[in-house]
Amino acid sequence: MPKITTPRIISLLLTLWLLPATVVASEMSLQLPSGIKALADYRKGSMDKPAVLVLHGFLQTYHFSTVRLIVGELSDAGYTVLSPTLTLNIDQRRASLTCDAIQHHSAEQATRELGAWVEWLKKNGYKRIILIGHSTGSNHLLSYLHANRDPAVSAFIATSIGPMENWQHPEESRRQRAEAEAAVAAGDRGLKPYSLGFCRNNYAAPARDFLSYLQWQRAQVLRDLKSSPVPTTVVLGQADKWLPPDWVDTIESEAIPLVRLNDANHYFSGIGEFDFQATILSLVEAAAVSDRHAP
Amino acid sequence: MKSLLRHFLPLPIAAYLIGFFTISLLLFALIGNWMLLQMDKVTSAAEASRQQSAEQEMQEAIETVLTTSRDLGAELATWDETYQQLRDNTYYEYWRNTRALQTSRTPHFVTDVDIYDQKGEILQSRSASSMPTHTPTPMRFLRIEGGSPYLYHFTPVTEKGNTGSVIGYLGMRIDFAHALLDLNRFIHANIDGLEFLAPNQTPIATDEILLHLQFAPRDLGETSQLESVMLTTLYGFAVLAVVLIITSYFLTSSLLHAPLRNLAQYIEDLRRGRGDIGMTRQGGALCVREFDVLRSSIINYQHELEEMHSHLDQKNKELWRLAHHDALTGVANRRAYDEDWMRLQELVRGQRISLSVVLIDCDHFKAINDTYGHDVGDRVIRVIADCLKQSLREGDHLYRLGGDEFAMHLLNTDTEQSRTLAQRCQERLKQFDFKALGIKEPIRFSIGIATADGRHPHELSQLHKQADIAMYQAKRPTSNKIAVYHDGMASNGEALLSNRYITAVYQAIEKDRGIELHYQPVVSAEDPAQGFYEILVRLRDERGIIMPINIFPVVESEGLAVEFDYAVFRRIAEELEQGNIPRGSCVSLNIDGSTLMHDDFIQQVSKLKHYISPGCRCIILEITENALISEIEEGSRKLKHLREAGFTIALDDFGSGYSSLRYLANMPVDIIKLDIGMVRDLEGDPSQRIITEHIAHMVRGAGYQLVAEGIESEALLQRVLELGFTHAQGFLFDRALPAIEAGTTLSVESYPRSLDEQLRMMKL
Repeated sequence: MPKITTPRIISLLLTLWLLPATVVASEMSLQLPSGIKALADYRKGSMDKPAVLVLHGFLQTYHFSTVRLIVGELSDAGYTVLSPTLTLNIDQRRASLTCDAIQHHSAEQATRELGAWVEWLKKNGYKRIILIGHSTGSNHLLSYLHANRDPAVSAFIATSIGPMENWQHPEESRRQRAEAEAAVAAGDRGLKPYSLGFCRNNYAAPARDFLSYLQWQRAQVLRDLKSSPVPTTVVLGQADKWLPPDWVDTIESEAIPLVRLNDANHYFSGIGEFDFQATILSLVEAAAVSDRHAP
Repeated sequence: MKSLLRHFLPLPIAAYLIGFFTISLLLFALIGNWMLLQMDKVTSAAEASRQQSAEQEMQEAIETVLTTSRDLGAELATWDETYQQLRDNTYYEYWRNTRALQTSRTPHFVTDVDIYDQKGEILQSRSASSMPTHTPTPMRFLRIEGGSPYLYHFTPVTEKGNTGSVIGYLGMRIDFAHALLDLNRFIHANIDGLEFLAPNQTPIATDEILLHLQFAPRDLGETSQLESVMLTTLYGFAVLAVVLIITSYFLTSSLLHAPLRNLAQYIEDLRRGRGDIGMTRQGGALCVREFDVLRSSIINYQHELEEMHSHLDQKNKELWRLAHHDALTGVANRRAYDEDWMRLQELVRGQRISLSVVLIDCDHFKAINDTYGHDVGDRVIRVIADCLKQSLREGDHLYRLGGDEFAMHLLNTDTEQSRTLAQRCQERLKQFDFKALGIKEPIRFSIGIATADGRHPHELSQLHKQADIAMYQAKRPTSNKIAVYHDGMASNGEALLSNRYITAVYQAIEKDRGIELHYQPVVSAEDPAQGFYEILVRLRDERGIIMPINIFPVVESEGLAVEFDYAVFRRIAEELEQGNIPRGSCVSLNIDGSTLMHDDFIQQVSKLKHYISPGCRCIILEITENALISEIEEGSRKLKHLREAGFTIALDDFGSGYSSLRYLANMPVDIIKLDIGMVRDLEGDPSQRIITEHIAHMVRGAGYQLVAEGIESEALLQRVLELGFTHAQGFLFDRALPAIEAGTTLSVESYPRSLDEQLRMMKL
């Protein structure tokens, strides 16, 4: 048995003191103005680096794998990372929602939640914030950027961002939109099954709420990207099947900063995982540096 | 108990075998019965265990349902969408029907779900719903509805976070029976007959559900299988036991019982003397080696016994032959005579069958034996036996009773036939030339015959004695040597050899009792002082006087000559001592030849020596010629010694024997007593007379005193006096006198003649 000596005790205590300072991960909740609480994974990093807010995709939580990839990589790099779960109008939502769950939430509510989290970061001392979204989460953040011109937000990385329309069945998409608009006009607040995102005719939502997400049409998304108020980089997988086939080329053709990852799918899983992590880290590092040299 | 056992013991091995197998069967039966009892116990225990297992299984199943309902309630209570409804129940019906009762969310046995607010009021009440509008107490219970049990379970919904405050409730209605079946797999409980024993709508506490359940344990078949296995085992065990016992019985019977029984029977047969039995190896060697060894040993032992038996039989025959035959002649002996006699008596007893006994005796055989030696005597005996055998008829038996005495049993033979046979024997013996054996003197044989009828048993029993009497009668000089017994012989009491004489002889020898001395005068022709008395012995018992004719045959036959002579010596000494033999008297006494040769003779006779006084009293020892000749050297030496001691020696019966005259010169004798036969020859055949005259002249010439015995007439007295005899003795003078009269002059001239002679003279 090793001999217990004073230097060894000091070394052990020093190690125990430094460990939480390096990575502090915890779930935290945030009381929203709507009266419900939102949850987020908060990993405190270096205050010298900008904080990064990472948002999950459609009906997911911060536990989603792609989010965990980004959070883990950046947290390991010493960045403060906040990955909130959108409440979707459910108090302290912890689980992802299935399509046929009551989707009684809207894109505007999500925008307000994101604003609350940015404010929270700022209140906690982070003056520079980089936003990273995955899939629909990128759409939410893009809507937030256009709705809130907050100078603390210095960069935006939109991964797997795409239009919210049902590009595979445009006729059905148009019909449902029309039905939803008619329902709203008729004051119908009942739940109807729609197709949205990966939900196919089972997205149970009131027409108004459904229509709130249909604002992210292909053209609108392209416009928002091109007119993003902060440096924005789009990261897309070459093998993403959920996005329209010409979407990557369209982004590129629109001169939107794009990182095309070969062989990567919508979720950057599998062999594209490492390239994705490296890309995100390099983009964040670049954003952090440019942000430091900004006036 | 032990005595009772001893009464039955020993038992045959078959009894032990039967006992052993009976006990074995009883044991097997007991074990089988015990196994059946154990089977019943096991079956009962299994039944109880089955019931217990079923109840335990059912209880666990109920717990599983309750646990599942609790978990399900907890899951639904913490479900985000439940919180969503508590916040906004606009789409409550959609939530309940589409979300909560969705099969992927809740199992199908959950028939209804509702959310209640913080106050316990249902968020949205419905008609036709069993769910209560308000949370009940208790919040979990079972209720029978329409015959089916339903579990109602209510779970508080608490605020997320750490406060834990209840913000609502979630209620479930569960089809308990379906849940029970879906969530559990019953092995021990038979749920086919599952029934809930409770009235409709009555709440049942969850911990009492089991009490209201009625069900039976499932027959899994293990008990019946176990019972079947045990029964099969038991039957197998019983069959095995029976087979084992039967096999063991036959094995032990053939391997142990039969060989042991055969061995025991064989040994028993041996014990009963069935020596001809044999124990063969039927079927080869026995299976049990020890028995085979034992059987071989017994067979070998039997063979040895048979050999030994044969040897013993041979020896017995030899012994019997030796015991029943005379070694010298080969004819049957006294023992055979006695045994045959007993058989013959039995044979003829009560029958009209005559039976004769013939006794044959050689006269003076002892003298022949003494004179010519035993070898010649034996040859004489063999000759006698041969002659007699040749004379017998077929079927007659010859016996040698001892010494020179022979006997014959003649069956179905009357007196005359017996006499004829006796004459034939006598004739055959006469025809034999005994000179060929070196015997110069003629040999005479006396034959006594007695005959009786089988119808007179007493006479039969006396037949031998009668033949004996007749034979002694035949020995008398006047007899023709063949005498047939008649009743007169017994009444005369002649020569009866009976116990009386034997007793008297032994009394005289052992107790010096009954000896009487009689004195016959031997008168002198020259000097009365030379006359003397010959002592003659008589025995007296309570029946009277016993004469020498009856004494000496006993003495001779009993071999008591020496002892009897010594007893007479002692009696003479008494007479001398008492003065019954007057001083100045001389007495002579007869000495048997065997006494002369006896080692103590000198010592015994010397006791009389001091009564001898020269000129006053003398003692003359009379020795027979034959006695002296048989051992002439030893006899002469002793007689010389006695002569030197003062005794006078007389040679008795000179001329009756077979000695040569040349021996006389060497004999240390003083007096010669001529045999009575030779004296009587002086009155008979001239040639015989001349021989006697010459002998008398020679004796006298040699200087011996010469005594003439048997002088019964004056003429014979004159004749012997003319021939120079110095003494005369006979009835002319006197018979033996009971006492000596002192002063009697023993001279021929003066001694008075006997009364008989005087009467005879008067007649003349």
